[in-house]
Amino acid sequence: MMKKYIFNIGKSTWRMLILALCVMLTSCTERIDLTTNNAAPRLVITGYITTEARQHTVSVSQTMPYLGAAEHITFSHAVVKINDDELSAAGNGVYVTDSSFCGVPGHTYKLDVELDYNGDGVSERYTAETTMPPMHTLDSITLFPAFENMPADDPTILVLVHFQDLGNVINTFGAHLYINDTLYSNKIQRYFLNPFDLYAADGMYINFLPYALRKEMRWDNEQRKYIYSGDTITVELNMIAPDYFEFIRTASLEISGGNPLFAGPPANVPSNISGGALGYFGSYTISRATTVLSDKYGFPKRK
Amino acid sequence: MRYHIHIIIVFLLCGNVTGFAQTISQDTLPDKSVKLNEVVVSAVKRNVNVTRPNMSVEKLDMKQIKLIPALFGEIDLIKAIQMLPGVQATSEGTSGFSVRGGSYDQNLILFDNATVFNASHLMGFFSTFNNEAVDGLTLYKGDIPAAYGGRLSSLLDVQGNAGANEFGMNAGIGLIASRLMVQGPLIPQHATFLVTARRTYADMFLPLAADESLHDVVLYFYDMNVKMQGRIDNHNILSFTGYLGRDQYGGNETGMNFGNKTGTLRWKHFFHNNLVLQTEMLGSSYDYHMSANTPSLIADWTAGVYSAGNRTDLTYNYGQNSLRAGWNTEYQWFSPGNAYAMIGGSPESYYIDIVKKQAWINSVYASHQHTFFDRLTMAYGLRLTRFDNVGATKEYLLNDDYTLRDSLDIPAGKLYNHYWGLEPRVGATFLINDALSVKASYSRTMQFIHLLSTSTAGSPLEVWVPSNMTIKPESANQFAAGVFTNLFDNLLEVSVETYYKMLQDVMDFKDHPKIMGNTIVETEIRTGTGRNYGLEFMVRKNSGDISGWVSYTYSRSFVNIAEINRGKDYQSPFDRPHTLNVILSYAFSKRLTASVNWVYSSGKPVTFPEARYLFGEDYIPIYTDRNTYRFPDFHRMDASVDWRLGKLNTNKKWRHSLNFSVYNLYGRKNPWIINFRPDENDDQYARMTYLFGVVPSVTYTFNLNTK
Repeated sequence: MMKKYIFNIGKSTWRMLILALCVMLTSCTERIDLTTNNAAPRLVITGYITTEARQHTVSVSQTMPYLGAAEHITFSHAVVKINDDELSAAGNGVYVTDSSFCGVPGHTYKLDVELDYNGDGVSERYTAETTMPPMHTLDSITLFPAFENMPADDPTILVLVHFQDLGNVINTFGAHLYINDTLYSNKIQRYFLNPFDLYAADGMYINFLPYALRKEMRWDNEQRKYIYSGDTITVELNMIAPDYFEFIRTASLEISGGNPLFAGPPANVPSNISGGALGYFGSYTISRATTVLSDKYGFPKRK
Repeated sequence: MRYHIHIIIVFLLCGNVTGFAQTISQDTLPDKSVKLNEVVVSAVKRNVNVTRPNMSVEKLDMKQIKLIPALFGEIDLIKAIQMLPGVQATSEGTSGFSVRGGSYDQNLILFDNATVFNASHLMGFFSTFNNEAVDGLTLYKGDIPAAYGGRLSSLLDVQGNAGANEFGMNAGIGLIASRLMVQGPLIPQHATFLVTARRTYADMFLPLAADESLHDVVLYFYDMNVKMQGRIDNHNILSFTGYLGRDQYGGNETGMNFGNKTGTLRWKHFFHNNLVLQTEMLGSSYDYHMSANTPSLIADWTAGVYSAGNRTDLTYNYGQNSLRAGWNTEYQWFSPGNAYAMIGGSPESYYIDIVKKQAWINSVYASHQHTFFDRLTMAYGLRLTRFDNVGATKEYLLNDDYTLRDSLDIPAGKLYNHYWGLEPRVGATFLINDALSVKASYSRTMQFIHLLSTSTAGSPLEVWVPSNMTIKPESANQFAAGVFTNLFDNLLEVSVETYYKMLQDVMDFKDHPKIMGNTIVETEIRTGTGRNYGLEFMVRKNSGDISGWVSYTYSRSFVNIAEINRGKDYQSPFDRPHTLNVILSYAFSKRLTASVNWVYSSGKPVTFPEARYLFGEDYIPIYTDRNTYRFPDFHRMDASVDWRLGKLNTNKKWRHSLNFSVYNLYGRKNPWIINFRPDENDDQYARMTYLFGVVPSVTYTFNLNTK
């Protein structure tokens, strides 16, 4: 547990230090022209299943140049099956299951995609497997102030989640945050992923702090998301298939770009799709708990 | 274009200085016969670079170092050696350096023979060496004397200043730093001392920063040196050197600090004119500490490396020749990290204690240097090292796929795993005439301790670990050859050296390694081979109105590790094919000296993404091979003018001068970091961060000499 916090001390101190040095050294940033080779396009298949009954999706697309505008090329004529049940094409390379589909802990799911990607007139087969991890049930979440004497106009509230770890299971869990049913952790960098020793705390009752709430939260594209008194705060605990967890962890490292003090050299994230395609087919469990942000925490009232 | 102007004025105020300029090395104090012996070392012949019986050696004295224009006007030894052929700064402004394509943890840095584990202050903008505490330095880029070992690439041997026989003081008060140096007789005519201290307060301007979060930021370092040296009688000299330094960064609630300590207690005994015994007790440490103290979280993290040992060396000189033998024992403690945290609102506290490790390293060595027929000098030596891992610790054993197989609990004091290292060193110098020689050398070096680092520039949060049952010692074999000549009656020194280095069991990390706080870091390490080769060309002029040097280095460095880059060779982060350094100084008059330097080097290798794909709402980058791209080429010009004020009569009690310097004269924006981000149209672009614009500074120095 603590490693995350220690790690964050390092990171926040480093950020502060860099900022301080930048002020002192008057360092600056600027856009530069850089040309990189454009790697030949490759097929990408992504999808995941959860323990919640809903339409689950699989996307079939291809890679695009790294720099410049996104060129999103998708394939809507593939045959996509999960455990021999064919998914229906919903356009833009997206394939969906029935809305009653839900994963069962301990079961293995096989993804099967047939597509003539190389254009030789014969469909290639791309497959992947994932096993749904055991369900970990979230007992409750509690909120508490981060500081005893918080500035009245800028409170910070920590979200603490409580659940029993089942034991003999690698602790590959993560957590989503919803604010009034809006997913706050829609991007990987805002998604909480257990940064601790995956073998520690085995079988223990676990309390951890995935999120901190402030009245202004960082959001996509330098925007802010505002939180008000009376908002509903929901945490979704995910126990993630270990290999899929590693995919998300490394993707998170690559997306955040790497801090010169901590990051190693860049490297590709893994893929479990056979047949030379990129992407991942994964699974995770879902268990939610909700609480309401009461007035006592000093958040502004919604107008 | 907007240039930010920094004016840094350093006032050096001297008071009560007596005989400050007359530094006499105490090594020369014993009786006359011994003094003669010592003088041989310091009496530098004008063609020494031709006749010196070893190659790949660079010596700098303080006079040469002071001519180089410096960042913020702060003269720094390590910044000076980064201008030498075959030496590269790992990143702009840092104290990390790469020698002949080696990584920065392959340099053995000794201060009076005590190991300095991390030579950086303030993210490397300053080195741990305070100029006033240093007498001189020697950098061995290969052909390291058999008396030294433990690192693959180089030895930087820094000698402490023992002070003068007359009392002197030198104090400086500046806008970013203050310093004090006191030296004098401890026992008149028998013992001297020198004490220095400095402290920066570069953070004092932060309360003026627009960003309020910086107002409470603390960012400073201090360090202290002490050296005492005394003559017990005509045959015995005793000295003590101590260093203590600490950096402190932090804000209200979180912070980190780190620093080195070193100590050397040295006894030198002259049996007679030609036979000298030197024995030293050595100690050093490096540790860092991070903490958070808020109502919601109390946390603490410390890590470090500590070493204690003895070095005993016997030297016998006969004529131009010498025999040297000795031994070296060192016990090292490694604490890769232990931590404690208590989270507010949660009843539990958490501990991590990464297994501590101990190692005992013993070496014996012997070397012989002999000149045949006045022309051929052979220098050869052998170093034998035994490395032992010592309990109490825990060893993790891995499967072939680097997963954990088993662990062993090792009881305290048990020597449970060992390696032997045999390191021959051979060199030959053939003097064709007084102005021309050819030299060749072979040396083998071994490295038993390794720095866990994914950074290519160096950071304070790195820990050293010893070799163990899983991590093998690294080794290197280097072949070098060169031609050395002096032209125009020793006016110009010219040298060309070439080398080829083969490295075994060099370390790198697997993709996406977890290092910090990892209890089983062995699972993240991959090893392979390396090869470095290059050519170094140097023209140096040391005397006359124009002095300086021009050096060109061609240097390549490749690594091959089966599990990295699909087993293909890749350029190491220290592969810099072309480097050109030009340093010129011109004395216009006795009053005015101007210096200019220009540095050019190929950009450092880097891995850039070549494609991406959409996953959810994120784009995941795709790379092809490792380190196939380079940063833009690095180049920079600095200049300085030293203007002596007042009358030029050297008998005056006081002297003062002004030094104007400009770092990065033409405002080159050398990228420090390159990252990628989407613009307002969501188009992905490359963005660079550079550290320095044009940085001018002014230094005022004032010396008082009452003698």
